[in-house]
Amino acid sequence: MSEIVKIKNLTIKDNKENILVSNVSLNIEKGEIFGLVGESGSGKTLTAKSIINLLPDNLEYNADILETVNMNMSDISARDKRELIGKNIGFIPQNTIFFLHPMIKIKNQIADGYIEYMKKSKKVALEKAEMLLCKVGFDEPRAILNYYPWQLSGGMRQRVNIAMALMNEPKLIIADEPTTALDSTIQRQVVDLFKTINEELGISILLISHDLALVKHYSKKIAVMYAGQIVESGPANDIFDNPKHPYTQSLMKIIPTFNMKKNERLSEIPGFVQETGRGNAGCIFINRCPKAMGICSQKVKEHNIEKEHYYKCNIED
Amino acid sequence: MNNQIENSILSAINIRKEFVVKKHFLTGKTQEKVVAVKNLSFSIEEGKTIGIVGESGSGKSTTGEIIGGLIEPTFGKVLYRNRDIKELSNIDYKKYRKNVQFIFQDPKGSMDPNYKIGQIISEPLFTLNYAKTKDEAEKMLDDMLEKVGLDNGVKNKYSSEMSGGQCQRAAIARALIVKPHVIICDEPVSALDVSIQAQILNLLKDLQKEYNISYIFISHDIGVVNYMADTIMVMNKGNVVEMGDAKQILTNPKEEYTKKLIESAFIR
Repeated sequence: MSEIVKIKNLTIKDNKENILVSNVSLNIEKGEIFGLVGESGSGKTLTAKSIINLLPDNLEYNADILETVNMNMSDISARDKRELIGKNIGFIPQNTIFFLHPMIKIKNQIADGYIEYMKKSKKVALEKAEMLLCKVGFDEPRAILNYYPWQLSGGMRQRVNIAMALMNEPKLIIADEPTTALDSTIQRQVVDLFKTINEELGISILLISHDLALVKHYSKKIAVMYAGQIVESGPANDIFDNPKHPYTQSLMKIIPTFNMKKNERLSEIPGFVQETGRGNAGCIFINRCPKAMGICSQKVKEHNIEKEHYYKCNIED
Repeated sequence: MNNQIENSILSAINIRKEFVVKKHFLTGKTQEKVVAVKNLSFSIEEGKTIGIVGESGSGKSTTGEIIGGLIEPTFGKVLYRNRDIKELSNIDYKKYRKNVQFIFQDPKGSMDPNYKIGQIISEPLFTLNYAKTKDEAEKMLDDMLEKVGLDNGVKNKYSSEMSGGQCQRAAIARALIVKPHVIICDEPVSALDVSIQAQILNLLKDLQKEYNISYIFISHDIGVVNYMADTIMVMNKGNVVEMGDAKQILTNPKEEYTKKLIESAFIR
């Protein structure tokens, strides 16, 4: 199977040499939904941005391998990068209103990239846009094309964003917390749409979210990030049936479920995410870990068990 | 129903709220209005939690604001210990404001960035005449910080120097320091990380047991409401769709909208 994204040992530092993301490795294969889970500040978005080499100027990164759609992103020219992102990558943001220009009609925004990169006429572009708007669930796509973004609701805008991401038939869609700003009933519709797109068109999707339940339902593979490191990764079923890392284990217990008994107490993770010391040799979760041992502050062992299930912990099976 | 209202601390009777969107530029006549809450009645008993669920725009927050006395209803009334809050004397009204407190969604946005956390938390003590001397206030502040699990040193910090979870703890301390009977929690954990969310929910539950507080718990996350609430009220477009015992509503929803909400919350 061919890989759309290949990252090995990615490390991101800011200009004061603080490590933000350390030793992240992940592979996204063609036609799969890859879930990246983590709390805020765990480096999910930075990892996603480095995939398309769009990190802010004050950050620097180095990686052993950083390939997107068979292009080496570490030494790509500005022109090639533009071409690559324009043609092959779709992006779906968290905040729907700031992503679309408020003063330009939907039809001009949605067609822009297609005309630029696919060298097609505006008429063809609009026909395609209409078709895609239909696909993402609008009944009257022609009317939508003539609206301004502020005339649409959040869920509608997000569907316009998805249609826009699909225009150039990308190989990879990066969805950065696509449903966080949406209502729960609309959230379901939007992720269901991702699933349909993935199945019908075979587009790989990188689904970034803090919602473990959402990722569980839709992804084939999952990576759990904590404080700039991937602490556990592997096939979704394996991780949910058999979580190895203490962080993943406690993450699953702290979300309130429907089958909780009355007066049952929710378990919690004490403390908070540490901001410094992300480059240390020891375990990053040591301060909050219920099973921490003396050795954890010096080194941490990496395990690779069957079916690509990877985790980082000193506890043996 | 009457009996229920008599036992309650706070109740809303047939409240309706209309917001004027557009006025005529000369006559001032209302040309367009939005009805945020339509004809809603409920009551809160001592030490219990009522959860309000619904999507954005369903009127959850408006309901909370009306019952907390932040905005006035267009029709209907709010009863505090069986008396209409509009007819309370000045002294009694101050008591009502002391006993009904708020916790908001965005912990940083609800705090003045120019004030230190210590000042923010102890401010209601002076404005509501709860503490007489500075020393007394200081002592109460220290006790409260310990209760909500904050270090003593945060007193001299600004809200921008603290994390979201710490700020939410400070907001809880600010609401609790005057020993209220009711706290209206408007999406208190939506802006927080999942690992912090569990801490805050457990803290709220512990404090409820200790002080016998009632909560009005507003949230769009039906799982969280299920954990917190004894009674659930499901709202849609300003109407109450369904109201009743929390377990019953979640295991056996009667209305189509409730089913949709539960289904979309990804049965975990």
